[in-house]
Amino acid sequence: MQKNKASLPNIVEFEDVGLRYGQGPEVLKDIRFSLAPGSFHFLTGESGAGKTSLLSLMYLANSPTRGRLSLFDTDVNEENRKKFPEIRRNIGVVFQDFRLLDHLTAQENVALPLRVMGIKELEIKRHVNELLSWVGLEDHINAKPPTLAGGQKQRVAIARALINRPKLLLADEPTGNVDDRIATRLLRLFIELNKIGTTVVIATHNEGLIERFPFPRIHLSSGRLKILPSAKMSGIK
Amino acid sequence: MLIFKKYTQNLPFAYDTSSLFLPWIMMLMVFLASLTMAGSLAVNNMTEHWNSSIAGSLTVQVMPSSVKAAGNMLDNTMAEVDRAVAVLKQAKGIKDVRVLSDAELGKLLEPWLGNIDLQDDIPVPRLIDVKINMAENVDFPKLKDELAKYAPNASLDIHRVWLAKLMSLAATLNFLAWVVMMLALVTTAVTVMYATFTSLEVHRPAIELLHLIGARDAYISLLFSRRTLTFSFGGALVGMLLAIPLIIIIGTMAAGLEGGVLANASLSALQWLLIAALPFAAAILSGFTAFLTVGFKLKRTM
Repeated sequence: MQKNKASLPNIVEFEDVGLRYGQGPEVLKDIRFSLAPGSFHFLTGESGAGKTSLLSLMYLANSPTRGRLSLFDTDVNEENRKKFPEIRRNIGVVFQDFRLLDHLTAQENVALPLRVMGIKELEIKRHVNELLSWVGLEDHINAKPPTLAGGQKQRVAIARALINRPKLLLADEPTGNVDDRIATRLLRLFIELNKIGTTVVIATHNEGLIERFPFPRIHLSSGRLKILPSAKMSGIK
Repeated sequence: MLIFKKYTQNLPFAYDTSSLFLPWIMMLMVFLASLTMAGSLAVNNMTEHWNSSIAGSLTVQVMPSSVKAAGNMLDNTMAEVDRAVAVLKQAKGIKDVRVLSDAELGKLLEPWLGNIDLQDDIPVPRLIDVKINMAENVDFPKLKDELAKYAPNASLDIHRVWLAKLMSLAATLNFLAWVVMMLALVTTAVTVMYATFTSLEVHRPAIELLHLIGARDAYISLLFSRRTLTFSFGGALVGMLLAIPLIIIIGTMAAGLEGGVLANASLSALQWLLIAALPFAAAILSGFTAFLTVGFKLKRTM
């Protein structure tokens, strides 16, 4: 969208990006936008508009079938595959389907990003327990996902995405399974992170949240993208 | 093993039954490899023993005299033996010459002729055991000529022909042993490779997640390789432990064979250590194969 004031490189840059799965039709077409460091956006659009696909490009689960995608000033292409782990360690993702490992406890699930980075177990435990308390799961530290309710799983997934203080946070319907009180609390957590410099993109259908918080929207419609001002400013309902 | 468990638990291996057969295959392969290696080492020991004990000696055989001269056959033969001994003692490079006694000859012939009295004028060849000084070269053609001149019924047996045949047989057995070992090695590697392919498919969603949260290929490869290594080691250890009593039994039976041909087949402490190292080598091979297989597969993913 815009370069920030200090001319720091954009966190995300899409240039005429297209994405298709196999031989199917293009699900994303001519996507062109950029996210400055420290920005906060809602990603909106109807079901099937391509929100999850757009996020998947940003967390490197897919690569563009055309166009150029750059993350943290690194061109994302096959040649740069070796750099992907480094890039991914700067991205926190809350998946729509949580993607928790059922054989691990909540604590171990949240610890995973730190474990793969080789952080010492003692340090991991301290950070993880603190964050699990923050998301209200201090009593479920040793519970395994199959024994948790949908909202609890979602909070474990959010804690996992935040544990390594990512520079870019991508959340796919992070408030989809929680009540309004928890949703607001979680969003405030994202805002706190954003205040300390994390770039945040939240895909959501929650019109209440979009109205309550004054952040610009990336709107997808039939695979094409539009940047809209915040709902509060534009009066969108 | 506890530290391995801590690392491998990031993937749900406990619920993965796709590679449960791996310890069994490892057990069989290491069992075969242990027996084959023990056999090969024993054959090596025997050939070394034969070589060292025979290389420094030769035998002169004096056939019973057929000349109808004065005196009896035995006297004539013994006279020829004395002449042959004299020729041998004068030859260059001969360290010791000893005529085999009647008792020794009788013992050699016992399996065929039973208890006989060699003084009974039975036409039995006489043997002379000759030790060679390995530092000097013996002129065998000249020695043969001298013997033909003074003891025409004497013949020189330098053991080389049958020793060469024996060594060739031993070399063939050794080669076959290595072929079996190589087959076991390749079978192990291929089995681990396919078990890893299956396991990768089973854990695909979890692997994808680990990738997305920043795990390097090497991290995931290590999870698989550590799991395969511990899994394989258990089976391999059992395979080796099962082979040991069998090796001991076969060794004891070989040592008890008449004639002492296989008497030197027993294994040294170092050779036992080599066999004991097989489970470790097999486990490391499995772990390494799993590491390479996962690395190879992951290269083709995002």
